[in-house]
Amino acid sequence: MKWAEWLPELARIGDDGLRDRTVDVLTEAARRGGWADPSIMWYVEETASGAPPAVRTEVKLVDHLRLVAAAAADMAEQCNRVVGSRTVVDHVLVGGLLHDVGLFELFGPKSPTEPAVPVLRQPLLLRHPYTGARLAEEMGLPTEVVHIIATHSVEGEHTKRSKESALVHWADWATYDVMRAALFPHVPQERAFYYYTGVAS
Amino acid sequence: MRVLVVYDYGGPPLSYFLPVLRARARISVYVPRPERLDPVEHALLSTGAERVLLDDDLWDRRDERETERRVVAAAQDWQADALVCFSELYATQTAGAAEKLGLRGPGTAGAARARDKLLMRDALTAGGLTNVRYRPLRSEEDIVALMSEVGGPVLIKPRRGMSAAGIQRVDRADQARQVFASARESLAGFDVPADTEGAFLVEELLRGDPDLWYPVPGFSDQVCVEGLVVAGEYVPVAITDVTPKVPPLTQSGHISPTSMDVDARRRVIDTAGRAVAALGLDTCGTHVELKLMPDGSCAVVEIAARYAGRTIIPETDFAHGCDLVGALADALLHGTCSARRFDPGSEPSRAAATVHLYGSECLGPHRTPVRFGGFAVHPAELLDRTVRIAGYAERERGWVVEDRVHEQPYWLAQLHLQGTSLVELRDSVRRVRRELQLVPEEE
Repeated sequence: MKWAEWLPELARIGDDGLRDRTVDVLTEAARRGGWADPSIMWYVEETASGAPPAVRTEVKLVDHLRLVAAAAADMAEQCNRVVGSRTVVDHVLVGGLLHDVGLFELFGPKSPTEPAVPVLRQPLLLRHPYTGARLAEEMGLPTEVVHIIATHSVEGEHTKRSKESALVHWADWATYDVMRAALFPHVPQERAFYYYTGVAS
Repeated sequence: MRVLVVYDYGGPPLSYFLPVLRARARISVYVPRPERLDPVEHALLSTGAERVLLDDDLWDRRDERETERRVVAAAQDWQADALVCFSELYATQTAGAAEKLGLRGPGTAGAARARDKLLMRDALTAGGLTNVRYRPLRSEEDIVALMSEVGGPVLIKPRRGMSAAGIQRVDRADQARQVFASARESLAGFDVPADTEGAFLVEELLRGDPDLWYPVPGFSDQVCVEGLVVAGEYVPVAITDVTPKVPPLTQSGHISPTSMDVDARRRVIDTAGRAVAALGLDTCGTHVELKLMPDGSCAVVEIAARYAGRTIIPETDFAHGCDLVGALADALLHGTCSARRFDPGSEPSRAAATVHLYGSECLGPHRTPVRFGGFAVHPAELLDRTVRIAGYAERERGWVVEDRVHEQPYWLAQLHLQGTSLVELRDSVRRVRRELQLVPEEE
C-alpha cells in the first residue's frame, strides 16, 4: 500500500520506528476492512442516533486524516514555539493520522461496482475511537497515541485529555466545520455531538 | 397471500419491484445486513413493505447455514407463501429455505449450480452444450496448464462471485501468479469466498464475432436472455443486446429489444433453453449470458437463477410490454405463468438502453489525470427526437479521471434511455459514445 504517497504527513514523523508502526496500523486496519485500495474510501460519519452512517462523497478519508494531522501538528509546533508547551509533535502527528483509523476496520467497500462507498461490516456496537485504539494498542503503539485515538471524539468528553489529544480533538472538529461549510453545507449538523449549546450554564 | 423478500445488494431497484409485489401480496422484507442500508433504502422499505425485519444481531454473515436458518425463521414468523430474493449473495440460502418450507423456488441443487461457476460448467458439460475448456484453480500452475492447452489467454473467475468482481484476464504465463493474487485481493471486503482453496476457476477466453450475428455494427460478441422457469418449464421473455466492452473487460451498456434477425434469435433462445434445462431449476427468474461464436453457435458464459441487476428488468419491461417481477411473483405464489413467451418474429414498438460512459472514452484531446468539469455538450443534445432520457447521473465537478485498468466502478456518466424507435435509439447510443467529451474543470 502506498501510504507514503497517500499520507505525505508521515514524512514529518521524526521517529522512524514510530512511523513504521503507524504504517503497519494503517495497513492492518485496511486489511481487516477489506480495502484493497483504502485511498479511494470516502469519508463517513457514524451517528449517535442509530441512523445510517452518513457518507460524504465530497472528501476522501485519507484527505481528512491528512488535514487533521497537519493542522494539529502545526498548532503543536506553534504552541511549543510561542509558549514552550513541550508538546510531543510526533505523537500529535501519529494521533492525527490514526485518529479515524478505526473507520477502515469498521467499514468495508459496498460492492465491486461501488468500491469507494463505505458500509458497515457489522452492526455498530463499538465506534471507531474504540476499534482504532484497540488496534493501535494491539500493534504496540505508545499509550500516549492510543489515548489520542480513544479520546478524540465524544468518548473523550469525560476523560482528561492530554494536550496532544486536545490538539487532535480540536483540529478534527475545527476542520470538520470548515469542511462541512465548504463541501456539504446543506447537511444538517447532528447536535448530539456538540456539547457547547450556547446557553450559559 | 404473503411474500417474504430477502433483501440485499443486487437485482432490480427496490423502488421498482416493491410496488409490483405489494399489489399481489402482503410483503415483509428480511434484511440480513441492515448496517449496509442507506437512508433511501430505509425510506423505501418503511413505506413499501408492511413489515421490515432488520437482522442486526452479531452473526457471521458468511455462514450460509445460519443465514438459511434465519430466512426460514423469518418466513415462518411471517407465514410466507413465497420467498423472493434478487440478490446473488443470498440466492442459495433463500432457495434452501424455500425448499425446507415446501415453498416454490429454484430448488437447492439448481440454485447451487447457478451460484457456483464450476458446478455450472460441470452441469453444462453433462448436458452436452458447447462449453469452454476450464478447470478448478488452486495455484498458478493450473493457469499455465490451461493456457498451454488452449494456446491463448484465459480468464480467472471466482466460483461464487458477484458483479464481475475478481474476473481477470491472463495473457501470458509469466503473469499468472501476479494476476491470481490481484484477483484474490480485489475480492477482499466483499462477502464472497476468495481465500479458501478452490474458490476460483480458470477458463478459456472465448472470442465471438458480432459481425456474423448482427446486421448492423455497434454490438459486442455477448448477449443476454431474460426469462423465468415455472415448475421446471423455461419461459424465455427477451433478448438483451450488449454494447462493446471498454477494454479490457468493462461493461458499457445494453439495449432492448435485440437487433438480431429472426434466425439468430432462434439460435440464441434455443441455447438458453438447453442451458437452463441443464441446471435443473424449478421456479425462479433467470438471466443467461451467451457468447456469439464465429461458427454460428452460442457458448454459455453464465446462468443466474435470478433476474439481472439494476436496469435490465425495467428496460425489458418497457421494451417488451411485460412485467417480469409480477410474472415471478405469480409463479412463486400460484405456480402459474403470466409471462408472454418470447416470439422471435415479433418487433416491439419501443426500445430502452443503458449507457455507461467512462473517463477513458471521453478524454478527447486531454490527458489523465484530469478533473471533470462537465461535458462539452449536454447528452440530451445528441439524442434523436424519439429518444428520451429516463434517468441520468454524472460525477460531480472535480471528479478526478485517472488511468485505471478496471474502470467499471469509475463511470463518468450513466444514461437510461427510452424510445419508440430501436433504430434511432441505437443511433443515439452510438452518437453519445462517440461524441461526448469531457471538459476539464477550470482551476
